[in-house]
Amino acid sequence: MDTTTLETLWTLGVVIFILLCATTYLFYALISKEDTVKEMKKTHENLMRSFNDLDEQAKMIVRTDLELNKIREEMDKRLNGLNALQRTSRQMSQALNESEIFQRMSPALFEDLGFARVLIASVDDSNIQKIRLNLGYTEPQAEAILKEIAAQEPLRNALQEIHSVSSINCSNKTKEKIIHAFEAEHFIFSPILTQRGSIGFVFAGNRYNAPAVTQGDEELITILAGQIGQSIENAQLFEKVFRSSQELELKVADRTKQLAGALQKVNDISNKKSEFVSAVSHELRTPLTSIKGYAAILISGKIGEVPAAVKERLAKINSHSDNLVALINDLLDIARIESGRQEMKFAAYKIKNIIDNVADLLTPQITAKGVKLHIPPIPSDMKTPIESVYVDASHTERVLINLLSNAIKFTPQNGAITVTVSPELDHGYAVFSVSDTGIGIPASEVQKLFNEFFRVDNEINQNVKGTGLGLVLAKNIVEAHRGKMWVQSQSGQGTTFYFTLPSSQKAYEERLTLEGNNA
Amino acid sequence: MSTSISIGFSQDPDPQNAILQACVQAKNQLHAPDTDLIIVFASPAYIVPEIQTVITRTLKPKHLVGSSTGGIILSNGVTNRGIAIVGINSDNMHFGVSAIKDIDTQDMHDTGFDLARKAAQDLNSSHREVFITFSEGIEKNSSPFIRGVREALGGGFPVLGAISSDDFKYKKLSQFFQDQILHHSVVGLLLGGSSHLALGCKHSFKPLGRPRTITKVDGYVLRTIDNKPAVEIYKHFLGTEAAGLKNVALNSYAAMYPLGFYMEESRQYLLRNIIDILEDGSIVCHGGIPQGAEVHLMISNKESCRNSAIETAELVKASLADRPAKLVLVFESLARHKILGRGAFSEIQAIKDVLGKTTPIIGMCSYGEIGPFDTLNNIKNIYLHNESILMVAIS
Repeated sequence: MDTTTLETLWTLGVVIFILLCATTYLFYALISKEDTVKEMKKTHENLMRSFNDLDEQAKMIVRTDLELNKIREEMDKRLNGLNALQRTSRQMSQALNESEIFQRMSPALFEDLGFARVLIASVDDSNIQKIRLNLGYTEPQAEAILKEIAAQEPLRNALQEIHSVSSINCSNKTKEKIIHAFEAEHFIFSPILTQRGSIGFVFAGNRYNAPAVTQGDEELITILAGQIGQSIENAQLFEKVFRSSQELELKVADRTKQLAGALQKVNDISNKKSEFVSAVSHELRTPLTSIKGYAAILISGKIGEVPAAVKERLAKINSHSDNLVALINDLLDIARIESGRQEMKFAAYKIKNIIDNVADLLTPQITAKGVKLHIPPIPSDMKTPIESVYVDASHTERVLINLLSNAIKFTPQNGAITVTVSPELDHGYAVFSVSDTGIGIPASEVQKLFNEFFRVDNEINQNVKGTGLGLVLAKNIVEAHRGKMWVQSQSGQGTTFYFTLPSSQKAYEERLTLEGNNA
Repeated sequence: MSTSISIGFSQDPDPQNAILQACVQAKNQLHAPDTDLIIVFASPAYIVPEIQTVITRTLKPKHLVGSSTGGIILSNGVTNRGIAIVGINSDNMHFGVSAIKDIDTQDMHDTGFDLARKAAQDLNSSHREVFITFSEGIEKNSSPFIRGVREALGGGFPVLGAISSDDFKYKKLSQFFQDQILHHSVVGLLLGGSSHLALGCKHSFKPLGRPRTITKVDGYVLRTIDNKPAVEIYKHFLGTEAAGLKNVALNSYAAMYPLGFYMEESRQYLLRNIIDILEDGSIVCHGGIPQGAEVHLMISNKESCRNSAIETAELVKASLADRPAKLVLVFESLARHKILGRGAFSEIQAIKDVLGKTTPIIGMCSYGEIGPFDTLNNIKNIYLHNESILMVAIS
């Protein structure tokens, strides 16, 4: 073998060796790749399984979520419905008549409840069904529905039921009729019940492509229909009470008018009486003055001595004339005060001064009778001290003189008379009292004390002359001060006269204003 | 005077009385013979022909925009009935308004462009802050609409908005523009001047189950997911209850379980409510769908909703940087409001806890919210969101 052949063989051997190595490497590489592919396939399978698991988990999540959402939606709907119902019920309960109840019901309530078609009807005074609320129907459509209800027996029956019917609970026949009449596949039809029975209905529904009604919807509409029935009854009751009250008011007004007329007549008569008394008194006083004058001249002997017997008679004429003049003066004063013609000179006067003046004036009679006069000082610790009154002093003194004279007259020897001024004010008025320990007045006579010419029938009065006008005059004077006079007495227990007088100008004016307002 | 803001609200059962009461309340707070801008939010029952006449006569607005809504957001809660009127008089804020009517048959890009251009022409200021729209119909193709607006106002211009709503009946949505009540239209409000705006936009939903891929889409109709009819995703998770998805007015599942599309550029889930299921199992969504995106069924709860509102308010507060907010406008998904139910009140309270007890809050519940994710820092990408809460604070 030459060198060339050897070289060729050597090269061939190397090539074969390299090919062998490469084949071996490729062989091992292929084996390794197949493992990777297997591993990748496995990973892919795992990944797909995880994805599918993820999908299944997601499916479970979605379905659970769906359930929860359905419950939530139903709860939200119920809450919204209850909320709207509560608002409407409150509105309706404030309605005072039947038409107002329906005016206060907003179609929005039913929209909140998820209804697009609503019809509410109730009977009117002539017992004819009238549409009260309409949502989703034209007027002719609504009228046609009422006619169909009247014509179809199953619908009439549904109206007379005492419970609601709905698309989820009623018979197929009724359901069919309602769907046909109201053009609503999902519905609730609830009668409006009162004590008279069914007086109308509430229909709430939706067309074919809307969600079905639920038990909750049915309950809400039933409650609403019940609420409407209740409100109608309440409104009717209110109307009845209102009418009675109006009738009563009319009667009261009529009676008040009659009484006012009667009072006016009484006042007119009283005024005429006062005028009459005043006129007569004036007419009487002039001749009486003459009689008294002539009697005095005769007694004085200026026109010749008169026999003793005549003188005695003349003295009696004089004395009776004095009594008659006093009586006429009292009558005149009463008439003046009653008619408001008596001018009152109001000013602030010290209470102590008024009482002391009167006490001084009556001291001779008190001493002569042998009674004691107590005038306790006005307490100084009272909350609202009163030292003065806003009065006509001369008239006030007349009141006190009158009451004290009576007290002296009816109090036995060694008895006591007390004059007080109450520390408690009666709305700015001072309360005076004159008490005695005299014979008292029988209960049956007390009420008549302030009647004109009334004199208590007792032994003293039979012996002592009086006009029966003193207390009337005193009371009139007190009332002219916008005060009050009253008496407390019992037979044998003494008597107390009370009267009130204004402690200030403000108190007097306030009382005047109050009386003006009340009048 | 720099800026005066007033809010009037009434729920009087008589719509005309309610409008008048709301106007009087707003006027009494403004103390001015006329008003620079009026924003009106009204529930369907309060949208009567006289609405604009009463507002015009009482408040004499120079600009007026607004929308129907299924929920009015107020400082003390959310109500589904009534009318709210916001009045703004300002020396340092300027307003331009515009409207495009009957947009259903129009090109959305052109609509957006024309709307923004008209508003810009109406704005008496060279400084523009933000564009806010109220609309009905753009949700089917919102991306070209937003592009159109941005072409007119600038590439990175903030575009925000709300889709008009009603009480889930989808019966008659309305937009208010000057003295007109519009339908199937879009109105725009361009704010200019020297006010500071702070924004927050969030949702509270988390993805459920394994990711799936959108395999066929036609605009806002999702045809197939993983090559199966799109409705299968709902059938899988909801079982027999998925049948209820056919009628959107009926079902609350659409609100509770929207679809979430993972947006690569924002790294967030864009939500879509479903509004119908077609015979072939396709899902009609409330807004456009990104082709090829990863899709999940999404889930949330009250607590999560409330927390997202707090987080949104915190974003706004951080952006305000100690400036007091004169008014906070809130656009919140009506579907989200449905999830919150009676808890809607506590959500507003939570927002006030963050932004200040006396901060005036007004807004509407919408069928869609237009804005970026989170804050104005993400303004590059603006989306039509569903089930989200969007807050704009004016300071």
